[in-house]
Amino acid sequence: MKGFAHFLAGLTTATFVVVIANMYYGQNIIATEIVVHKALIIILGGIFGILPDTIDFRFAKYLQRHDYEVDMDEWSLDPQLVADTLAKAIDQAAEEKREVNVMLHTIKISSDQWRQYTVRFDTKNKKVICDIGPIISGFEKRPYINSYLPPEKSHAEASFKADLEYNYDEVTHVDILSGPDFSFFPEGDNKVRADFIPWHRRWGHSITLGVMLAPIGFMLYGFTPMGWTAFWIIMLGYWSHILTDHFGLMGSNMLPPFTTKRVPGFKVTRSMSTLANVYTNYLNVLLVIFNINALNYALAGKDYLSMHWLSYLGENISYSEWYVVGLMNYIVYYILPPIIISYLLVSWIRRRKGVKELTDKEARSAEQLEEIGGVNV
Amino acid sequence: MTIWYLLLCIVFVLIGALIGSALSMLPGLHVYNVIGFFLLFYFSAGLVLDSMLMVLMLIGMLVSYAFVFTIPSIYFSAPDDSTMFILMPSLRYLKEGRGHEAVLLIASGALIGVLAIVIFVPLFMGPLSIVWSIVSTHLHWIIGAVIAYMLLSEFPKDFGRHKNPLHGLKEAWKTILAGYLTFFLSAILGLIVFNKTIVPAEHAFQSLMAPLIGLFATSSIILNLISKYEIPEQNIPKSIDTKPKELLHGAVAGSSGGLFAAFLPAVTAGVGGYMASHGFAQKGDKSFLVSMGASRVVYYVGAIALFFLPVLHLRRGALAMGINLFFTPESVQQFYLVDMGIAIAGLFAFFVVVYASKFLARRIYKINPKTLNLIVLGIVILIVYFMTSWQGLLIMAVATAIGLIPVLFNSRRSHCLAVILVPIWLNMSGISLGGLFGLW
Repeated sequence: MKGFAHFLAGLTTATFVVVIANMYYGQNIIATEIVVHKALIIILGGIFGILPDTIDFRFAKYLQRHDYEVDMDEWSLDPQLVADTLAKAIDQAAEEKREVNVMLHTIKISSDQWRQYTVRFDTKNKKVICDIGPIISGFEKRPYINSYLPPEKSHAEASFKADLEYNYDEVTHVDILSGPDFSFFPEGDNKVRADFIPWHRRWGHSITLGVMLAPIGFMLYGFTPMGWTAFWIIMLGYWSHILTDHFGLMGSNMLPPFTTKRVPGFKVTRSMSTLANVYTNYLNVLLVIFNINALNYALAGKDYLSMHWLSYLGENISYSEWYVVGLMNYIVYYILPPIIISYLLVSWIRRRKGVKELTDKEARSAEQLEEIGGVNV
Repeated sequence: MTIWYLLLCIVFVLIGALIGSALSMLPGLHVYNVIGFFLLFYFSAGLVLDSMLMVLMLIGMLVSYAFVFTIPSIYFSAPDDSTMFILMPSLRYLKEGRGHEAVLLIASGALIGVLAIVIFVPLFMGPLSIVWSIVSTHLHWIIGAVIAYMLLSEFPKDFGRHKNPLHGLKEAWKTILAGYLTFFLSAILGLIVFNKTIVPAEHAFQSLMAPLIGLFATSSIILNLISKYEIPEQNIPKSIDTKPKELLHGAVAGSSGGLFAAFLPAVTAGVGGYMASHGFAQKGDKSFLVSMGASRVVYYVGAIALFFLPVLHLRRGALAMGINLFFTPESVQQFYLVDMGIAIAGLFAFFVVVYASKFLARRIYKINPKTLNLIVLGIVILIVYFMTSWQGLLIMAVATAIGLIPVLFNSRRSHCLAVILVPIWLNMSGISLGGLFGLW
């Protein structure tokens, strides 16, 4: 998901925590702090909701060491160098039984022009294929037609001996901003697993780190009801990021240091999907509004949303009953219908136009490529 | 209401739109500054004009400004706080001979934004008022969250070439820290400007003009002066060659961002627009330019629509506050009159933008960019001097220095918006920092 969706998911989680904490501690302690004393505790949810990407893109990316770096410029374009380096790294990982990392740098020509090249892992024929592409213009990636190289200068192949497990799209584009890096891990006899952008969604996207960061809540508010509320906001806000990412394909490494591999995602959606981002944000904004209304209701007795279903329960209902039934009603009346109708409409249009869905491999690569250089955040 | 009165209303909307269009061509001049003078004149003339006609004329000026300011932003690289986000893609377009195309994309977004206001604001009258009742006691943390997102969503723009991890971290954080420094300094400047009237008392209502021009316009002009570039011959396409999906995506995102900004205090069109572009997972320059056009119009014009909206009457933006000095919206009829004025002025301003852009696109390449930028800088300095005196020039110089930090370190220019966001946020959160700077 985009950084904005994570931020909003964190805020939404925070509003749920404050409503529940307000019920748990009673006497509107939490609601008073937020509404009357202007406490900013809810923002913690947003901050820790976006933090996993902040950690990865501001720190983890730079702590990644590379055994090989391929750094060409416009005057020394050499597709063979790229193919040979990757093939060598794959075999080295298998032979030396250790992780080997390779960084492929982009080729910058001017402030807005880049030379594109592609790398393809042909796992069946055990080959790495590199093709130097055209010069492209900035973020629109429009190719300059007269910038293509002749085939004999643009294409190269190199063979490797190990069995490669590669779960992304066969073709990786290296073009703007920062290039991708690959990690090759030995996995049994002559077998190597390739990970794309290995520093992403590892320890920074883990349940473990969420637990470790949560005590910051006590540092901010002490061991008070607000401190405990902040503790849960930080932990659950952080986890909301991991959970939201998990609806995609790539998943995260959930429990380092006990686990070392990424657990694959639920494959429900694609992180770069406009629709998925819009639905997530719509859902979050509406839930935030409901929860704020719930806080106001607890504090001042004003229910601006006045859900229809509540009238069936009569007047003598508890706050928790009001909250649960009201929330159900709200979801059924206001959250689900626009999502279902627009989804059906978009699906129908896509079917009519014959829009091709990406394969898992293509989507996984696209998801990764979008995130290089923080494009996705 | 007679047919003659209705016709008179249309005439005043068009007069306002004409004045607004002409003044908006001047780089650096914000419509709110001009409206301030109009209001002063109106009050000193003893309110001789029918107040509704005056309101419609001012609305005509605002709507045309929201459209026409695209011209100086793109051709003269003199943006304001809401057009600074379009500067990068539009300058790229201009350098590729596609300046007119960029203008058309922004103007299309703006036109759809006007349609969204005219059609959807009346439709969502009820829900908007409910949402406002709910969130109005939570604005302190909502604006705080906007600030937190601005600070946390910037990521390093390095190209991955590092000697070692420490070197990599240093390079990456250079950009981020420059952004934070910009935010911090802009916030301090904002606190000073909001709490102490540095410009002469008679110009006090213009006190934000100098810092905003310094942060966004003069810093861009100086960057243009020190960088080498040529403006090539501009292509004038017959159509914008955009997929309906891109147009729709940009317009919906921009309108949502603009409405968000119009709804909340301190949040401006630029911030609303870029948050919406993240929220709607926007891709590509075209959709982005459309969204920025829509966001800007919905922000400025939507604020006025929300002010006249029955059951809400939300005062956002200098125009709503200015109008409220002599006019209190009371009836649904007034709202629909304003809605009509917005639609007419929007349509008029759209054609002004298209023809003005065509006119400039045919000639701009003949002018040396350095000469052009020097002329624009001269105009901006003169405007600031006449509106805010030498004290304003001093504030502008300080703001320009701050505005140059993100430009030189390649960090986000949106951090400059701390000049408005932080003082208002602190005020809403009940935090008083003015004492730190000896302001009271």
